[in-house]
Amino acid sequence: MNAVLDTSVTTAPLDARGLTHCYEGSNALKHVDLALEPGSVLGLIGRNGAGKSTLIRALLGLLIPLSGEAFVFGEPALKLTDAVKERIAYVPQQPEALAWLTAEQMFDYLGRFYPRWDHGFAKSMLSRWQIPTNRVLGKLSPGERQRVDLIRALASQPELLVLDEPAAALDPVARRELLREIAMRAGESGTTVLFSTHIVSDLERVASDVAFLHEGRLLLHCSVDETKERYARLWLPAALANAAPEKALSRRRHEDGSLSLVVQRDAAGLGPDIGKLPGARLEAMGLEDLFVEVAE
Amino acid sequence: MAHPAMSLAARTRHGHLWQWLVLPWRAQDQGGQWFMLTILALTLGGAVLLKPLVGSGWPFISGTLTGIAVILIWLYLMPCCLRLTLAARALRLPGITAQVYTSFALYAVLTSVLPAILFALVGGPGLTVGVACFFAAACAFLLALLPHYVCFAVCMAPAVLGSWMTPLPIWVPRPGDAGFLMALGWASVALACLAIARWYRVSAGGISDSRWRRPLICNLSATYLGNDRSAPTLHMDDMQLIRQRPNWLQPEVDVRHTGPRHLQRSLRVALGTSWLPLTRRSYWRQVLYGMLVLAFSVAFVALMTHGDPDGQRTLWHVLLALAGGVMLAIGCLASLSPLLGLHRRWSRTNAELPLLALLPHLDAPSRIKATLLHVGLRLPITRWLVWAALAWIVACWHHGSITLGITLTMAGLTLFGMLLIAALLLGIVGHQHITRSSMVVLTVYLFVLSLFSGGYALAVLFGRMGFSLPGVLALAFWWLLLLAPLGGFIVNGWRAWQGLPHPFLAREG
Repeated sequence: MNAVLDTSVTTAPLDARGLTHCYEGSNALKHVDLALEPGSVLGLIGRNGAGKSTLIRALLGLLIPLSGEAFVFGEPALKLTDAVKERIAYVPQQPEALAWLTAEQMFDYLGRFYPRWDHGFAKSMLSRWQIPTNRVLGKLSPGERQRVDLIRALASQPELLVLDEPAAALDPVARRELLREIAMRAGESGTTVLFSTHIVSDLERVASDVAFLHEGRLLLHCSVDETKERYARLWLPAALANAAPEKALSRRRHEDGSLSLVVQRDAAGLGPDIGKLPGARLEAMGLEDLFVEVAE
Repeated sequence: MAHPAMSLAARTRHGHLWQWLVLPWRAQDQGGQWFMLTILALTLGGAVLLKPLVGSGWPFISGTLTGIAVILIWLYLMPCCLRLTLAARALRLPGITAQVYTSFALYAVLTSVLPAILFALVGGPGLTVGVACFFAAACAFLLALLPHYVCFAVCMAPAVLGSWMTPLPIWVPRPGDAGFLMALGWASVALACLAIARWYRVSAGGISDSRWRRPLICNLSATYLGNDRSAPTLHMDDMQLIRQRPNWLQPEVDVRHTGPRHLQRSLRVALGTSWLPLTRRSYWRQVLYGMLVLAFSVAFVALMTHGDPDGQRTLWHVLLALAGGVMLAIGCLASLSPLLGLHRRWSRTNAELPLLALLPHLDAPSRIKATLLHVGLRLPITRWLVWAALAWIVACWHHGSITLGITLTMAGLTLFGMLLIAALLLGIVGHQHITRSSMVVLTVYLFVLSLFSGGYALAVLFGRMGFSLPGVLALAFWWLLLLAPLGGFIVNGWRAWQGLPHPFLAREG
């Protein structure tokens, strides 16, 4: 029994191995490996069209990838058992499901399938977020619709919460409340959260880890603090540009011939040796700077 | 991606004859282009080929076919230029509007003067054909720009006018009366002026958000409004329908008796629209709305047959035809439209599919697949069977006895309908695309076959033509020919469906 419990605790809630997918010939995912630690809050960041939604759908078994495998709590994503499905909740970017039901009807309907459904929470959140309960979902505004879907996801008391750009249609107040709810769930209940976003401030507010997806490739995956410590911007004047290190996350040449690179520091926090040369300088980077440097 | 109007602007800035000719075609999507080309080829080809076959009656037959082609051009093809004009105005693109107007002028000549000259050259009534074509063009163009309910009233006006002509002091020249051609010509000019005025109003004011004010062409062409997803077109999906329907028309769903122990009912809730289990009150309300539509139709028929010396008999015949029409609507629309709605909804990634894919306790994938197929097929097939049985009873009753021909026809139609429903559902759940070209060929084939079958059935019903078993069997043969492609779709859909790891995977582009 203990062995079983231990396995459930240590098994990665989400695990992708070599996921590759393409749409009409263009690669949406290129050999992505990603594993979530139990209890972590992973912010998946990337520009529009970077492949975030595709990765999330492949991770949850909502599409068949061209190659690679995905596992949810150790089970193949395309063949999930009820026991695992009970433990996960997913909110798509633009929730459109069951538009003919009112929010109350939707919760009544879905709640019958989840053994741990929290009816009280659903009801109180509907009233707190002032969602009209007598109007069908199809007639709600996009923001209200997204809030209903968030309540739906949270009411099932999931161990793994996957949110695809959850704040896209929310106003700042609702966004702040959502982030607080995510942080609380992760802190108190140990819920593992994966959320995609391109709003860096949201990510910095709640995420413990960050994964950077760019043009279908996972460029980095580590903790938020580690990311800030590990990556730095190296400025090289034109005279030193030819001696730039080959290994860099991104490189940009400026009009005056100078070069800026995103480089990795070593364990002692030191950058490449060239950074010590006169004219060169190594700068710390925030997440937003890192995102902009790599995405541009 | 560049807006279609921008690429058109680039191509048509320096217009010449060919560009004016192809401009309305470029405003169409590929399916619309093929549909128009095929129907035009059939009608105009028929007008030419039937001339030596029908003897002295050729001017009427060829003229009618030409008229149908002209109506299609001005009802569907030319009004689509409105999209170009609106887009050009919104994007501040110069020159497009002038090109559109030149194209209109060119097509006005091609659809009225050219037929007149051709008919005159082969010894036909050139002037009559020319004026009639101009009248048809002006009528069709005006209708395309009017709201749909106004179109309905305008289309029915001649019939109502005809029945009320005796008591009301309205004189309308009939074909054969002196001055008919002149009156038709003036009427055409008046209609053309109205159409131009309406065009200016719509193109200057833009398309209204209210579906009651939008031109008919918005309902006919899906591509017409580009990215405007709120447009109520024939392709309007269930979401748009829900958004636009007033609260008192929304169905009330009964979510009791759903959950893991009531899978079929739970899946009905997930499938939505016609599959939804309704509360008793909502169910009776839907029945009431149906009865109101029927009552309105009967009242309209009564209005139309007013003044007919043989009114009772005509009313009875028209009511029979109306019953047939309503039954056909129930059979075809009620059976197939839920599937088309499901197809559009489940083609998107954020509808019910992710929710269902991750919903626990829906049963094992193989069993839920079987349940989904069962629930998905039961409703449309039941509706189709009910329609076929009612149609068979009415046809036999009207004919006076149960005949082999009617029974075979209805059996064939039943089989065809059931296979079509199975092919559509398996295509949706098995992610099998029916290619655009196949769809166009099938649509045209069905259109022509339905036209012949409907015409034959009406001719028999009204005693204009005797019932003949060979005729029915010939029609049945052409209907049965459709079984081959349908069988292919079913087999492909089934194989793909069986190969999916679970039934709620989104269709990936």
